[in-house]
Amino acid sequence: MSNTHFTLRLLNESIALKLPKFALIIILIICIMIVFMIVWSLNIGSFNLSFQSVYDTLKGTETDKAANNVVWLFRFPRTLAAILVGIMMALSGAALQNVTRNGLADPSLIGISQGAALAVVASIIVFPEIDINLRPWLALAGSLIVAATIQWLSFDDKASNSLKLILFGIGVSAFLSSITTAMLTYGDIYNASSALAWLAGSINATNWFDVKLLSIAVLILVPLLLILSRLMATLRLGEISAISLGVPIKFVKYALISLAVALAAIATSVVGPLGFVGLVAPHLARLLTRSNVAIHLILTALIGGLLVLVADFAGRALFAPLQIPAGIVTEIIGVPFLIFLLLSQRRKLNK
Amino acid sequence: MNISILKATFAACAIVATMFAPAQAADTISFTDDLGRKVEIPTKPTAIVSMHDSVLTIPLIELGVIPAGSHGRETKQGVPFIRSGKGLTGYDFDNSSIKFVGNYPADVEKVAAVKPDLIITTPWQKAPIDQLQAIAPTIVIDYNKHSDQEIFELLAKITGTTERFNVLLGRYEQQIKRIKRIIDTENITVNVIQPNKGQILVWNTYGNIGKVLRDAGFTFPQITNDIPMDDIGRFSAEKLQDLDADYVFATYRTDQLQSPKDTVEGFEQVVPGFCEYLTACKEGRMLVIPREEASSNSFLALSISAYTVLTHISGHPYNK
Repeated sequence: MSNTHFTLRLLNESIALKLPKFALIIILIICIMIVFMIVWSLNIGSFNLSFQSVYDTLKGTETDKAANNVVWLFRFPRTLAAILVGIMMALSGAALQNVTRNGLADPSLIGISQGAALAVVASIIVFPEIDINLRPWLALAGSLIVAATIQWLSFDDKASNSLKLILFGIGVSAFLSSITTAMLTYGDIYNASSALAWLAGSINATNWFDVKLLSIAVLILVPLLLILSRLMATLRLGEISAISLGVPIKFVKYALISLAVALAAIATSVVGPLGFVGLVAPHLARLLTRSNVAIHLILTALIGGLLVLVADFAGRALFAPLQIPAGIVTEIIGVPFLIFLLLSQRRKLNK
Repeated sequence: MNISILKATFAACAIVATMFAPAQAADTISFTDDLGRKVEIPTKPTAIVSMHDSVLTIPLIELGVIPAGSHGRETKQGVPFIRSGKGLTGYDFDNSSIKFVGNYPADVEKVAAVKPDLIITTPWQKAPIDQLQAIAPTIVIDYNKHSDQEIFELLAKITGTTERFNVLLGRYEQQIKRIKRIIDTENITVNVIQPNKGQILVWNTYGNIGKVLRDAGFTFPQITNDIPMDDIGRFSAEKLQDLDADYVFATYRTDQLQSPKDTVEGFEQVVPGFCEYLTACKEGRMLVIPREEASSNSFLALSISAYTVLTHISGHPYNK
C-alpha cells in the first residue's frame, strides 16, 4: 500500500483495485454531505414538523395523516428523485464529454432536452386534451427519437464522427427549439405558461413510481457505464492510441452515446429538462481531484446527486410557499461556482 | 354486569350506528371532474383551497364562500396578493383568513397545513393532483372546457350556492336588457383589441367586456368573427384598419401598476401614429379600460363592464 493509493483486494485477489486515497476521502465527504442533506430535507418544509415527529413517521409510529403525507408522499420521494436525477444527468454529461472529447458537451448537445421539450410543449399547446399523465412518456419518446435521429445523421463508417455528432446536434437542437419557441409564442397563454413551467425542470411532482423508475434505470445503466470506464480511459489517449491498443472504438463510442441518451432521456422524462448538471458535475469532479475514469464517474455521479438535491431543497424551502424549479436553481448555484473554480484553477496554473 | 343489559347496550349502539351511517354517506357526493375522475366531495365543504386566484378564488368569494387557502401571486417586493382580489371582492391575504399557498407550482405542504376538506384546481396548476388528493378530495376544473359562467355555475354546484349564483346571473341579465333597451346594438360595430410586442391581439371573445358586447347584440368586424370561438388572432399593423369599429375597447394591467398610457405606447410600437388609422380613436370613441374588470371571472366585473359599455356608448346623447 503506497502513501497515495489504497489497494482493494477482492475474491482472493482475483480482483485488485488501486484506489487513490484522496479521491476516496472526497467521495466519503460528499456521501456524508448527501446524508446530511437528506436528513435536513426531510425535516424542513412549509408544514411544521418536529425532528421527533419526522423520526416517528419514518418508524411508522406517527398516526397523524398529514405528517405521514408530508414525509412519505411529498418530501421523501422528492429527495430521492433529486439525487437519482442528479446522478443520471451528471453521468450522461460525463459520458458525452468523454466520447466527444469536448468539455462543453452535455445532454442538450444531442437533442435530448429539445426533443423532450418539443414533445411535451406540443402536447400542452397543440393537443391540450392529451392526458397530463402521458407527459413523461411523450418526453421520453421525444428525447429518444431526436437523439436517434442525430446519431443516424452523424453516422458514417469512420470512427471519428464526434465533430459531426456535435454539429448535427447543434443544428437539430436549434431547429427543434425554434419550433418550441413558436408554439410558446403563439399558443394559448395559460397553456404556454404551463409548458414554460415544465421547461424549467422541476422535481416537485415526483412520486414513488418515479423513484422506482429512476432507481431501476440507475441500477442498470450506471454499472454498464462503469464497465466501460477502462475503455473510456483509453479514449482519453486519443483515437489512434486507442485503436492501437485494440479498443473497438466504434462500439465504445456508440455504447457510450446510447448510455448517455438513456440516462438523460429517462431523467428528463420524469422532471423535465434540468440544465447544467451534466455540464458542471464532471468538471467539478475533475477540479476536486485527479483520478482514474471509474473514480471520476463515481465522483461525478455523487456531485450531480448532491447538486440537484441542494437545488431542489433550496427551491422548495428558501422562499416557501413560492416554489422555484430545481432547473433554475441548479443554474443559479452551479454557474457562479463553476466560474469560481475555473478562475481559481487558472490562478494556480499561472503561479 | 348483567348479560342482558350488555346485549341491550350493544343493540342500542347498533341502532344508533345504522341511524348515523346513511347520514354520513349523505355528507359526500360523487363528482366527476374535467379529467374524468370520480371524486367523493363533501356536500358542504368548510375549508376549500383554491389553486387559481382569478379563475377560482374570485368566483368563490362572490358566491359567498371564503376559501381557507388560495393560490396567489407576488409583487416585486415579495408581497403575496390575489389577482383582482381587493379591487373586485375587497378580500386579499392581508385582510382576511385566506392563507397564501404559493403560486406556480403551489406549495403542497402549505396546502396540507391549511387542513382543507376540498381542493379545487385547474390543469394550469403544476402542484401534482396525486399529492393534493392525498391531502383532501381534489377536483380539476378545466377552463379550456368551460366558459367563465360555466365555471361559476360549477363552483356554485360544488359549494351549494346555486341560489346565490342565480341572483348574480339575474342581475347581469337585467343589465344586458337595459343596454339593449337603450342602445341599438345591432347597428353599432365594436371591437376589443390589444397591443402586444409589436402585434395586435384580438380574442373571440375577450373576457367580460367581450361577453357583455356579444350578449348585448353588438356587431363585431368580420375579421374578429372569423377568429374561431375562444381563440386568439394575431395581426400586424397592416390589419389595423380592418380591426376598426364604431367603438373600440383596449385594456391595461392595473395589477402591474400600468395606466392607459402604457397601452397607447403599445399601440405606438405597432404603428407610430396608430390613432390616425382608427376612426374610433380619431373621433374619441376608443376607450382604454382596466383589464382587472375587463377580464376577471367575476359578476361584479361583468356589471362594471356592462355599465362602462352603457355609459360610454349611450352617455353622449348631445353628440350628433
